[in-house]
Amino acid sequence: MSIQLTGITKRFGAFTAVDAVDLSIETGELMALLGPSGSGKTTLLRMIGGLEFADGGSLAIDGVDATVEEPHARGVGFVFQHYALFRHMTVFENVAFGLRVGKRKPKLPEQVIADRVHHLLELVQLRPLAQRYPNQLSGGQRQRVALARALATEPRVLLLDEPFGALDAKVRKELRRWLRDIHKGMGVTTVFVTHDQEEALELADRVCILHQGRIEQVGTPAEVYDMPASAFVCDFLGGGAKLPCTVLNGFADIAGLRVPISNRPPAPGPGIAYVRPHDIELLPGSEADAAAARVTAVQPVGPELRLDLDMGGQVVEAVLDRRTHGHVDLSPGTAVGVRLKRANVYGLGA
Amino acid sequence: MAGFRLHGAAASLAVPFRAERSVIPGFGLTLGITVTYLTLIVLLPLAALVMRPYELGFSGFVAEVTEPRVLAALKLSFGMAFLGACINALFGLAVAWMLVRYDFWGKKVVDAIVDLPFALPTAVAGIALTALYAPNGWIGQWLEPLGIKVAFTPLGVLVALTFIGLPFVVRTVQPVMEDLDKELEEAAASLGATRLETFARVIFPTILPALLTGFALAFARAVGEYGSVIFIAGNMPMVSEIAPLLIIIKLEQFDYAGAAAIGTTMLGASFVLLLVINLLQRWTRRWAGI
Repeated sequence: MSIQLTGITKRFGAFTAVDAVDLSIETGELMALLGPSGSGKTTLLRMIGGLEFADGGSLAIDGVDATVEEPHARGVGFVFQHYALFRHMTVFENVAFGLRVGKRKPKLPEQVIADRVHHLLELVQLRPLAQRYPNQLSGGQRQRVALARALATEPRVLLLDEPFGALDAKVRKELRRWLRDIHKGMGVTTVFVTHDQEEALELADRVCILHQGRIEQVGTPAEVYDMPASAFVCDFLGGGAKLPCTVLNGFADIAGLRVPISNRPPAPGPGIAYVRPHDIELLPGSEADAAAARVTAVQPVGPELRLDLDMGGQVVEAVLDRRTHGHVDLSPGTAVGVRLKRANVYGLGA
Repeated sequence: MAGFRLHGAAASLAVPFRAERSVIPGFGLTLGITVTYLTLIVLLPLAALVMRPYELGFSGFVAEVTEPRVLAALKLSFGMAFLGACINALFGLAVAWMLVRYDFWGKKVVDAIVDLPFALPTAVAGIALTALYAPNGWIGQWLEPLGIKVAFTPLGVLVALTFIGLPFVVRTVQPVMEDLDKELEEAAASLGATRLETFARVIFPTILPALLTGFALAFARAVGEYGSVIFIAGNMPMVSEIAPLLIIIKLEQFDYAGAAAIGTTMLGASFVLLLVINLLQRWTRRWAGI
């Protein structure tokens, strides 16, 4: 169901964690709240879930005001960062918890509960582990139990706080794909919090980037990556080398190079340009539109070759394809020509 | 010197346990110290206690401990210790809950008061309780017209045993409650559990093992309690005479074997009860198992 936040504010003492945030999340959408720690993303999620109450503003779920509603009445399922599984209960009982408690009259028959729990455990591929205790599970398995438990009450909205934060890289990747499949299958509106930009861009339909309790930008992964609305967003999404520049009409002057501006150009004048590693090209000799640079470090990482380049005192990082550049001598000290394909440029005031 | 030699023997004993090399050194040393210490402080006195009634012979032993006065005393000691531990489990839980969950003015003072039964000489506690609950005492004078007699009755024994057991429950439950993850309660709430259900299904099962430990400690302490009870109990044979007092009486009559017989019986009964509580506790922690 759709969620509408209007001017939502939350303070902890003198600290404003969430500052007048307006955000609307569409029905069936998979939305990421992305930001560094302390940006207010978890507080925002907890307010949607009813675990924290706003000091100002209002929150509507499916058009109905839910600002002061109790968590369960909102029809929200919450997956906690550290899973918060009931360690004295088996996997089965953890998932069944939401079906047993509450002012439900009459109580659900045991057979209905068992069927529903087994269906959910099937969905999260944990059916054989139903009688285990959380202590006996791996991190990824616990995460899936937590998800099954949150889905048991058939929530209208699923909220996940740093769902893959505590898992190793491989499990994280598997679970990501798997969460997207489940979201597609069930169509439940989903909001998750993350500080990992790659995770947000890979998984979400739309990404909401937060900074110091305010929204910096909301958009599809392609939008926020290609057109970062602010220097912060650009920097946070892996902006690359940060170089001083002069903004001219339609392009930027970086170290004497004419570089096309890929985001919305700021007013002419001094500015800051962000050049991503992939947008740096190495040229064999010194050509007219290339700047002179020197290789200071080189590191092969899987299929890539990562280079640190000294460009007139500025250190710039470049990423090359190892297969196409494998034969070129790029040992430290080598002089190369550098071309910048495009840059995100911001005025100094912004 | 004897201690040293004992340690040496224990260390050589320890070799078979050391099949695997460990990065943590000092296994032999610590095992040696542990065994020596436990032998001197716990095992030797207990062995002496168990050996002593032998001179009575088996039938003499049975006759000694099945004597009506002894049985009544044992029943009183164990019954009231059990009851007192139950009361402490209930109210100790409430005290721990309040100390962990809420911030209030004077919390530190309340927290310190909990330890007083530990620190107070038991005789002082006994005299104070007696003064309070005697028919003309501060509390006793209000209970007297209601027909409730506390001092010099089994009820007085219960009051004293409850008094000394309280800190055990509070101090074992408190840290576990402090470690309780707030997210667990939030998870329960978001799944639709009422406050009561959250307590009964999530919080209570988590702290139950600690509560049982506190219960066992309070109970064990109360069974052997002497100082605080004898003043308030009145010590009437068959009514309000506790087993430890009976042991003292026997000792004063130079009936060492008889005293040891009662002591051995108490030891055995305590051991069985603690074993049961331990098994119960293990069952409540079955989720932590392998």
